[in-house]
Amino acid sequence: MRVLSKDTVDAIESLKKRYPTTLACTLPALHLAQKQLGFLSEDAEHDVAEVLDVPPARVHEVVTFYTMFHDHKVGRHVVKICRNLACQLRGADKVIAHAEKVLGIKCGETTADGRVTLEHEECLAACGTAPMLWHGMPGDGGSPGNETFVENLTEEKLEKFLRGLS
Amino acid sequence: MTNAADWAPKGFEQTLSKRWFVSDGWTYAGYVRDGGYEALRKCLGMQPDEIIDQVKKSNLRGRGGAGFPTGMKWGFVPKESKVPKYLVINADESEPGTYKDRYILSRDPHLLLEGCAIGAKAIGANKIYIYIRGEFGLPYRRIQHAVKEAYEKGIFGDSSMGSGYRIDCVVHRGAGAYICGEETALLESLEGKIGRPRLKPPFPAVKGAFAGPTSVNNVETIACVPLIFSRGVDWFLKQGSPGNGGPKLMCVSGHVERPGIYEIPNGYPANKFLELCGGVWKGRKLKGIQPGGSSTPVLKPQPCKALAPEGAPEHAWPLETDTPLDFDNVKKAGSMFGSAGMMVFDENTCMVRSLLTLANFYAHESCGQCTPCREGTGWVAKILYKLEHGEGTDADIAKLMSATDYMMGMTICVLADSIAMPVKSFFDKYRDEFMDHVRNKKCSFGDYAVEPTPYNFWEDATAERAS
Repeated sequence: MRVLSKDTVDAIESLKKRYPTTLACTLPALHLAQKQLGFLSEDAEHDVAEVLDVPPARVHEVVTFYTMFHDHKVGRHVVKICRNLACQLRGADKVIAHAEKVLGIKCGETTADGRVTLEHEECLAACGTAPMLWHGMPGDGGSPGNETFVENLTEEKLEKFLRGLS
Repeated sequence: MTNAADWAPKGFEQTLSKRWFVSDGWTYAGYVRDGGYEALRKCLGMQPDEIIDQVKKSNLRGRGGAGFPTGMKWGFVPKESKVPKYLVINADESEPGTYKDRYILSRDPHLLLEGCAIGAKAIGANKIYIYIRGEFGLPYRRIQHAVKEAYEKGIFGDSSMGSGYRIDCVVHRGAGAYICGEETALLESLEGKIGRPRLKPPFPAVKGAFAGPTSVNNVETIACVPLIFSRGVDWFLKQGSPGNGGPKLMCVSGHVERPGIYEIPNGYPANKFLELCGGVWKGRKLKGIQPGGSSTPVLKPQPCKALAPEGAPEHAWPLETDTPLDFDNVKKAGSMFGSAGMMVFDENTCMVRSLLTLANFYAHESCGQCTPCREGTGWVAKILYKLEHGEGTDADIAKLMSATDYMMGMTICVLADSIAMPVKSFFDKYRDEFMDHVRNKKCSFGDYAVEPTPYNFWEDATAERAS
């Protein structure tokens, strides 16, 4: 293994009994790898492919297709703000502009201290509590699924949330 | 805390959403206290044919968007199969405007699991995959917890409720791709590949997950199944309209006083539904609604002949936005009921800007497999950007229309149609607004202010704090 820890490899191994093929473990395995590493480098893809005994190209295409997988280093916190229609009708454009102002970066960028990566997001199925954002910590080592929504955003609530991220 | 009765028509008994308002409604103990898993016990003693027959009689139709009869879908799965059969639950909720499944997963997950077990028994599958949207945090934690409880309590495992029938259930997380809500793209993604829709036939009922016969069903559809067996087919039929059985979860967003999820009988009139939501906010006028999510044609408050009784004079025609909310009537009104994600636009909404936002979304989410979609969605977005920013010309409008002509019905899945149809309907019904953008060389509508709802009951954070 180039970069995956023994714990991650064991966790991926234990996925295999859930599916009739090892290829089907690709998405959950990548979620686990990203939890350990924070992002998915070529070495990480190589390791996942080795554990699953599938061609590395299979893993690489999956990493590049899905928006939750990062193929380059991102901030400790990833904050994605919904810009889709239901949120826009409730002021998402201003919320996004305010987040960019507070953090001093544009969507798609990471703060210089590596604290926060800010991104646009498309609809996250919280249209009744718009505007909203999604928060995740890709490399926190925890189990996948620790992500949270922050809903019914105002500019004040957003600012307090962003400043509270350590 | 909010009042459950505020989120349904007066006197209508909530069944799909009633446990959302109970603090431990999402636990096994809470579910069983309310009579949970009794429908499964009944079904485990029935023949698969009998179960499918009851579901057919109930007129339950798929809640994911297409409205296909669920009993018929299950009936397509062959009884004998040399390879394993699968029940796959589509919990990849991502149609803009739609957010009902998120609450079933996080606030009443055992209702879904009971429906899953009944469905597995009906089609003869021993394995269930719940494909849940990767971005979901709380819904994922809650459904994982519920599956663990269900194994501990013998709902899942070698002998479901002591019946001798084996049921296994795996929760599978997606990783962020709208297209994986399309059933064959979802199967590709479940198999560990990029989410590109498959050519049909073969249909999933013949060759689905891992090349085995598979039924793919939406979360809300499956959550309706236990009700058919606990309350009976007659009760279920009475909760709906002809051909559209059962209660319906309506997601409403945009410019209403009280956005949220409402449980209504199928066939409830849209104008009365808007009243239930407190009406258009701030006393403003209604400009239009998308009744079933972002991909459904827009309805305008204008007279609609198709909804009127035969031979009715024009002054007596109902408005498009008065349509009864079920698959058949919304179609008559010129749109689709889709996944019941209703977005409401007030008179101050710029329809060009709204359409541009949707077009950007579809351009972003096209999987790139079919040229008319990959290129078409991009062109539609570019042209709408020009129009909204005052750079559009008459020629651009002609180009926009011809682009949609080349997109509709030309691709493997309906993602291209899902933006082409709104483009056509927005332009047909709000033509003046589009022309004004060209003529004035600018958008005359102001910025939208930040205005969240006061209903924190619907937030994940509130649900998590209460547990």
